[in-house]
Amino acid sequence: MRVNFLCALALALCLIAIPAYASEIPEGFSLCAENESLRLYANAENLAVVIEDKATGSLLHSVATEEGAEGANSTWKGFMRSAFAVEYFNNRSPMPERVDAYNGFPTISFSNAPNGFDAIISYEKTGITLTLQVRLASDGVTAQIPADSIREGEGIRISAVYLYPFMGASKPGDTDGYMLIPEGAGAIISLQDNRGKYKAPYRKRIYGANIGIDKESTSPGAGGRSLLAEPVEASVPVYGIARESEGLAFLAIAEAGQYNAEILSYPNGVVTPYNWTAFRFIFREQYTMHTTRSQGILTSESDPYLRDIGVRFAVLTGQSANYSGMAQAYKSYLKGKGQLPQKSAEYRTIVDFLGAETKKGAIFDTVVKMTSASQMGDILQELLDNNVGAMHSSWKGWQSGGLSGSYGSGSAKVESSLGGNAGAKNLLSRFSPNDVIVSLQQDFLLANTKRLYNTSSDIAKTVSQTLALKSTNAQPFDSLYYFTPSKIKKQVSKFASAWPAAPISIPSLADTLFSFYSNGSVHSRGETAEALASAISVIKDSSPQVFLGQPFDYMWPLADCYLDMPMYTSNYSYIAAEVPFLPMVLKGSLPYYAPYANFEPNREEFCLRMIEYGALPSFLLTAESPEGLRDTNSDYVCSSQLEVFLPAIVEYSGIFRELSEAVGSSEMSSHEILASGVSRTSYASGVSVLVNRSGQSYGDLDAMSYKITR
Amino acid sequence: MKKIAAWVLAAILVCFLPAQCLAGGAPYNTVILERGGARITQNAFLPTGKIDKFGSEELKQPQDITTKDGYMFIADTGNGRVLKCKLDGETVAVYGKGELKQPKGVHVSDSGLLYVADQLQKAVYVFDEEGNIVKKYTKPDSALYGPENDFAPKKVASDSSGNVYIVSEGGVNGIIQLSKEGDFFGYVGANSTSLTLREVLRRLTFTETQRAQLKLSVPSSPYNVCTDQRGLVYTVTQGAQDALKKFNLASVNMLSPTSGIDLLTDVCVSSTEGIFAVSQYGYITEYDRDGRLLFVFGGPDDGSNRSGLFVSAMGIALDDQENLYVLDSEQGSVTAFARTEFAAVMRQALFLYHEGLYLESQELWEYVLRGDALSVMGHAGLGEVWYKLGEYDKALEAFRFALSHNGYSESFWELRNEWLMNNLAYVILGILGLAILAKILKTTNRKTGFLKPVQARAEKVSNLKIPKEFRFMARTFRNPADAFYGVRFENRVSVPSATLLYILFFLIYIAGKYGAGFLFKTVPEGHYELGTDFVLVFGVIAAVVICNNLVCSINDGEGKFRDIYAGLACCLTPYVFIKPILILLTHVLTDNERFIISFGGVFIGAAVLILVVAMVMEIQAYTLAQTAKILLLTLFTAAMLAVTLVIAWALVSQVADFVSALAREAYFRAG
Repeated sequence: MRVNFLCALALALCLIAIPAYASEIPEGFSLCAENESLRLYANAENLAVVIEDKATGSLLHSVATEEGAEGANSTWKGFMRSAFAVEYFNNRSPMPERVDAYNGFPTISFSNAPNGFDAIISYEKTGITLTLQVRLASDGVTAQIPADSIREGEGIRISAVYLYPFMGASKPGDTDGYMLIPEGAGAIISLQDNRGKYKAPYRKRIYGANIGIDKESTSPGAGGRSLLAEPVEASVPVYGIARESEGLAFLAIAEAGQYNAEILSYPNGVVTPYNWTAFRFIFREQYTMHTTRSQGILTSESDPYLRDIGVRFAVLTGQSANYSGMAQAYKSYLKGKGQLPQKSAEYRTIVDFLGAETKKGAIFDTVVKMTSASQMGDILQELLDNNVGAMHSSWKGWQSGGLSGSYGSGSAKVESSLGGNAGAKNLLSRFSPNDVIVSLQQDFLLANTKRLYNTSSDIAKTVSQTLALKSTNAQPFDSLYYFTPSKIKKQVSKFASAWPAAPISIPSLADTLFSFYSNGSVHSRGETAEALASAISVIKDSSPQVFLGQPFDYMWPLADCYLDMPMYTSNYSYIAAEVPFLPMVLKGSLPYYAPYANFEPNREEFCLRMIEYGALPSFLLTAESPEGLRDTNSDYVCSSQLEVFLPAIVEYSGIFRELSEAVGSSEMSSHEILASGVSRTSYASGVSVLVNRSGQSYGDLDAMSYKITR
Repeated sequence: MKKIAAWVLAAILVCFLPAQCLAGGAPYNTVILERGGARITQNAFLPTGKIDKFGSEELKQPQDITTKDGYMFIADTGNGRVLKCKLDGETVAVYGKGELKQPKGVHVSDSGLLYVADQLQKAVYVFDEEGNIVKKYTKPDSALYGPENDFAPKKVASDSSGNVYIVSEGGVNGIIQLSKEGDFFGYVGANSTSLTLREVLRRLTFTETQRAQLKLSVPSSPYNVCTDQRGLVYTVTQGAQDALKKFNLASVNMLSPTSGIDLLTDVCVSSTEGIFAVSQYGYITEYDRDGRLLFVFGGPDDGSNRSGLFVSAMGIALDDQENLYVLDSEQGSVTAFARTEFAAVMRQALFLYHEGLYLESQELWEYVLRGDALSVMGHAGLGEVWYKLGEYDKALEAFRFALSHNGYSESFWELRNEWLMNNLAYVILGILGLAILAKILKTTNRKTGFLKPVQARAEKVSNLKIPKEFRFMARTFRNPADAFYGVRFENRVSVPSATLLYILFFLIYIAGKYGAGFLFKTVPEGHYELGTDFVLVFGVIAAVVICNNLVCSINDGEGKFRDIYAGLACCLTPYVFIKPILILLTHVLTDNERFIISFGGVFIGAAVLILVVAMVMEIQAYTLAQTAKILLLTLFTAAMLAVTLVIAWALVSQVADFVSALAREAYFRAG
């Protein structure tokens, strides 16, 4: 009796609740396509779509309603109500203008297509024409604009295109939930009303800023050194929105054109009352053409980076309508495309060494010896004797002349004071691969500005034809050049033939993407991505192990190990929580390591964060005291002595070996935030790890502790 | 359930650690300013949270913050009130709503009274805990205050005996000090003005009417004030050289000028006498009690909303656990920071160090150096420890790394003393032995002549042209007139010899600059600029020779260019022969014997100058008066030459810039 009463109550509640969430298909929409789980409705006027989850009847809207857009100016009103928007420069003004389904008065010719629709959009005044193709896929909806459909009128230069920017957008009070952004290892922005607290949106270029265009930000700093820590980069082309009240979420993946695109995420109160997130596909960059050292003309690229652009909206419902579900969706997407490698899940601690650094001398630069090949071998042996177990160890700064002086030398010779080539060869073969895999770290990207190069073909220039510089924020070499991908490939081949079969660690090729000017033409970021990947695959053919530093997702298939995964975001105040999105995608496929624990001010919290994220520990050691690194580019290495870190290496290897044994090679299936600083990470094998990073105990879990349960 | 051990940490340190856990990331690097540059070190503070909503209250252009007993008090200037909030941001009381108009400064006294400076109402109000106004300070009637002086309080502080310190907007006389009752005690901590050379020249040359039109040079008005437990007053001043000041009871600044950070807006002092200041740009600085800058962190927000960075930071406060609270006026928010383990240990070590408890601070300094092996402060601290323990060689190394001259000098003195004690006898015996050996050799040689072939060879070498000329030059100082006569009329110094001497001069200059002992070296270690040195030395020599020749040739001088070239080389001989001895001495002398090196330097300078005068007189056949005139003219011509070169360089680079700009523009238009 009682059960019946409860059922009736639940049913009644559902009936009250449903009208609030699963509203009717709005007027003007007609059914376009249908599959087992979803229905796609489209509006021929503004090309808006509504996706219906057949199981629950929940609807995912792609534009704001007429009433919702009330109060905005016509530019924003049109944008909020459109399925697409185009930004373009005209000859008169260097600032872009924006048109959409309303502004600019396009002619839209809508035609049904198998599983979706095509629409040719043309603007008479500007001569801009493009074709939008929307299809219903098994997991959601894809929207695409093929490159060959894009035309522009005389004097008109398309700068950027948005596809369904208001998909899933909400006003405060519409629904609970959050927007997922690929910030750090993953972060969420709450959909709650923030009463106008935030003034600026989240805006980040996928795969990092473009050194070919963007000037590196410089702040006045102190004592000639910038204090700002570089914001972390967005390393995957995805975002997601979870509408918890409807039990509906989606993950948007930029499937095409992602190499030059931004993710914009606007919390409510920033410009509009809506929470919305979108990709902005960039076709032309705006830049300053320097005519003198201090002055220039604001202009835009003459030729567009023309390519297909496309977004896949993977719809998630029920138990999957959250960020864990989004990570699983991305994981299966990558697996489907064969872009997620399956690597060994065997646990190894990373203990890296700094060989030598370059110091300015009276006439010639001198070398500061930090760790020779034999010292490195001895320390590794000592660690093995202390039961640290299997390790990866990469040797940086082994190059002749020391680390920063050797950038760009192209030489694969080992510094003689470190033991020379013979010493290095001994080191590489000294340990059984079961104990220690020793790798050489080589930066193929950067070039020391003190050397002479063929700048027309070997050094990347910005679009305004100045040499692109990377600021090191250190002395004596305060900036470095970037090699062009063709030069990088040559260097890689040279290295591969000098050190065949040596494991290699590459810190910067996989985490940098740029467009550049060389030999009279501009090369796009897409070309660079392809060229850099092909450079790495050269070494992949000869080297048994390739470790990549913070690789972007297109580099994952080439990596045996992901180094330096960011454990924190850039501290944006609108971020409601940091979540392990990347770990959930990678766990069980590619082993990933946290940045060096040496420089973490907060070691307890950092260790718990690694446990929560399933990230593995890494350390940097030197045999000599780092005092010698004063006045070198590595003077940030202020703590690296074995006697300081031995207890930590022993302790961490114990903790993470136990954790790895418990988890095995299984995937991370979900992550939940139970309270502020308290979380549960669950694995497919049934193991879950409770972590309390807060200052208060949680249930029977003490403050700053963790628990593995089965 | 497992707990993560705080590794590295010795058990004794636990008591200094912050109680709460910290969130991990910081949007800034923490840097240390040392040795004229900045270096990234371990983070000293991490942001733990940003509060922009205080319960249901929001701030509008807040201007000041203070904390007391677990609460923070915020001058919510735009809303005309003061909020009392818990440290997590929950508002528990609102003071002065309707009574305050422009509260710009807040302070809570030891007895719990809330002082609020209201600039618009020209008064400082004192509230009790219930929010009643119990006292109001207005403009003092004392004649000493100056009836012309305005009273517009924008910041306020008090000390344990109830004295009130008020910063008045535009008040150039310093901080207004009032008694508890409101009687005017006087001004504290006025800033000073400095006269620039331009100002002095204007005052000297202007007419009275022109002088009257000059802007009065008035000292900057202090921006903010705070007091510490001992009643010392700290001020910050914007735009002044010494932005941060700490005044003793006699109103004398006890800090040496602090550098680096501009536009400080607030200052606060911890119970362990750490001084914290914040600048409008959001840079937060921590100083030790002597004003040495320990850490700089924070910074300006570029509009991307990163917590820990600021748009316009206006206030800073510390709670009992030494967490920092920084108020952003533009964002209307308070960001909390907690100290990291590393900085907590550093602070404690400094505290012991300042108290002279060096031995007690040993473990702490060792911990600091494990966290940052490059820490100058750490090495200096540990240097003191080793010195106290009598381990002078370790102390010497530590002080050398820390660039502490005093410590190095004292340790070196001790080490040298020890060495002399142990070895003096041997040294004397050695010298005696050598003297006896020389005597024996001489006698034997006289009898047997076994050294004759060697002597003959040596004589042959010394009679070669260049050694001979060098010997001649070496005698310059003994008899300048003869020497320069020889140069001019007997051709005793050839051009190659003179050139060789200039090269020698350059090498000794380089050795003196980069190879002097640690205590006497004027350039930082590891810092080389050989190219500049080369240009400087040979540029000056060339300029002097050329200009002197030009000036002399139109002033009836008799000397030839070659004579001046060779003559000047002779003038440099005191440097070439005495300087190497001084360089060697710099390696064995300490600060106590610095006068020897200084005297040597002065001697060389005077000798060279005298020789130059003698050289010009002798070679050009001038009187002393003519010589003086010619030398001044030479200097003037050299200066003109330098100016001409600079102008020529600027013109050429302008033309180059113009051509390149034209080419770029043409390329851009065509492309």
